[in-house]
Amino acid sequence: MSVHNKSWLEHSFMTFIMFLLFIPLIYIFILSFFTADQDSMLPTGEFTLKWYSKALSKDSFLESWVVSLIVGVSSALISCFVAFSLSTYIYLWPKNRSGKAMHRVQEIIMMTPDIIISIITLYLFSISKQDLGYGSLIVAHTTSFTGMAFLIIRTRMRAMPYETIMAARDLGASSMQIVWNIILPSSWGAIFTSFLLVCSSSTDDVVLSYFNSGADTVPFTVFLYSSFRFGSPILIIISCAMIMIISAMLSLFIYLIARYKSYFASKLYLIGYRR
Amino acid sequence: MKNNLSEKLLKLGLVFPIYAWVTIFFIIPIVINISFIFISYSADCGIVFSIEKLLDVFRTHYMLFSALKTIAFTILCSVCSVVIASIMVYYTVKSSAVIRKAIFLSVLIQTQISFIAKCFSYKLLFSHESYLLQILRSIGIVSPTFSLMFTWFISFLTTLLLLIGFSYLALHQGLKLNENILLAAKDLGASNWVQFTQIFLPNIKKPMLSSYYLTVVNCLGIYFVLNMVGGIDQMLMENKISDYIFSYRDMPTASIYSIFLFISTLLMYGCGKKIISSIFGSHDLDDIEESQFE
Repeated sequence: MSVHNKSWLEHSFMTFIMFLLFIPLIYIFILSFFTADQDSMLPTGEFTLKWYSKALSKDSFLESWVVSLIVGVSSALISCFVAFSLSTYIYLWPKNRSGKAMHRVQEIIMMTPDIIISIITLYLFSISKQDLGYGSLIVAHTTSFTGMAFLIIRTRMRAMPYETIMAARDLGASSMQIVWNIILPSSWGAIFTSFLLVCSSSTDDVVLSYFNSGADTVPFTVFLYSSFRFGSPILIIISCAMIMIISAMLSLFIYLIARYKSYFASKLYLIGYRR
Repeated sequence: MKNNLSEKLLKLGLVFPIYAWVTIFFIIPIVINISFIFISYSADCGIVFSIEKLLDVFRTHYMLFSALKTIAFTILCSVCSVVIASIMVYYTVKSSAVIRKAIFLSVLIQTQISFIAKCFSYKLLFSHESYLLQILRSIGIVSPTFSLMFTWFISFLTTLLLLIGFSYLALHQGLKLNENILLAAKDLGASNWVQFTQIFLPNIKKPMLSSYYLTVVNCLGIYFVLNMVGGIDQMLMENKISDYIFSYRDMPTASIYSIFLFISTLLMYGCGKKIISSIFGSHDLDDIEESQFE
């Protein structure tokens, strides 16, 4: 008797859910290659790449990708730095109250809806008479996603044996040496994972970007959201198809890293050790 | 002495960035947001302190209704997505290693795709001219005038479909159940239903909670779905805030709504924490949240 035998009800339920999850995405993907008319959303028989080349030759389309990338990478870098600092502080001095307090604050920020973080950043920038742009976007994204990076890095640090730190202290290592030579090399994997996750979440976010983008700094998600109201359907279809391709590649990359994490971790550890 | 000083400097260096960031970009702006509630502008006196706006909002009862609607919608979507994801994970656990990996990878890809792209694809699927409705019409299941768009049901369904992937991943990652236990139960004559309710569900209590939290957070952030598929009658509190800021330029009312939403979210979180500690005793929510990242 095998546990792999399933009833028809289970099979049909799973098929139905997978159908609902994937068929619309596959449909859009096909549509992006087989649509002939700019205003039509119905596929035609002939294969064409002309809409891709048209979209890629459009300046605003490419600029929005660049804005998204700059904001994503910058906020991921700041988030990882701040999250690593806080995690290290809590790990080295677990009984210290200020670390615990900041941990709770991070929990609250994580639970706070994006729209509230968007509004408070908008108010802050309008009161300080600063124009909305890269600054407001990076601030909003970093505030929102630092909690996520913190959770990942802290989980990794909690798994590290504290005896190593005690042994290093007994051997005369200073706290700075402990951070630089033990904690940082062991946390590279978690820092890298949180960097990727924050970067992908940031480039995907609509609400934070919608409230805090300036006239010249329109991230891709805002460009797409605006296209729903004023843009042509084919541009939306092409954008969605491109997002899908990039997301699929990124997911595969994350999956492969997770699958071969011991190999990557050893490589990253060696980089830190050599330094 | 020198070591002591360097340790103090290190402590300061580690904790300063987060304190500075949170104070400047979260705590001070929240205080500014609260202060906006009590500020009103008149042409004669300029900016004046007033609680009239706050009283106006509470007098209409609309905000309370809107908050209750938002909380109910969030909880309903989250609970449904966790339930559906649990059944999907149960199916995955019972599958062979290859199928398990394939399902996991496909759901991972689906969740990584932008919300807005997915939302547009569902809009295409459920639109009046979609192939799905054309087939249903030709079979005669629905009438020629039948339309799914801009109804409560379609808002709920789209949000649910956007959230299922997140629930599934959180459940799948937190699950620590050996398929041999299910096999043993099957050998002992347990039916599918008994295996699911007596063995599988008790083993995924913790991942279910982390999955629920993850879904609630995501659900509160994707209110724009209702703008795209739900129509004007399906507005939640977040849509109202957005309208007050961009359409009416009414900052005090937007502030009142946002602070009310913030308090409601914190209450939901606090109550959830109490319930979790009463269920799991010494286990903290941190462990539950962190289990999904292990």
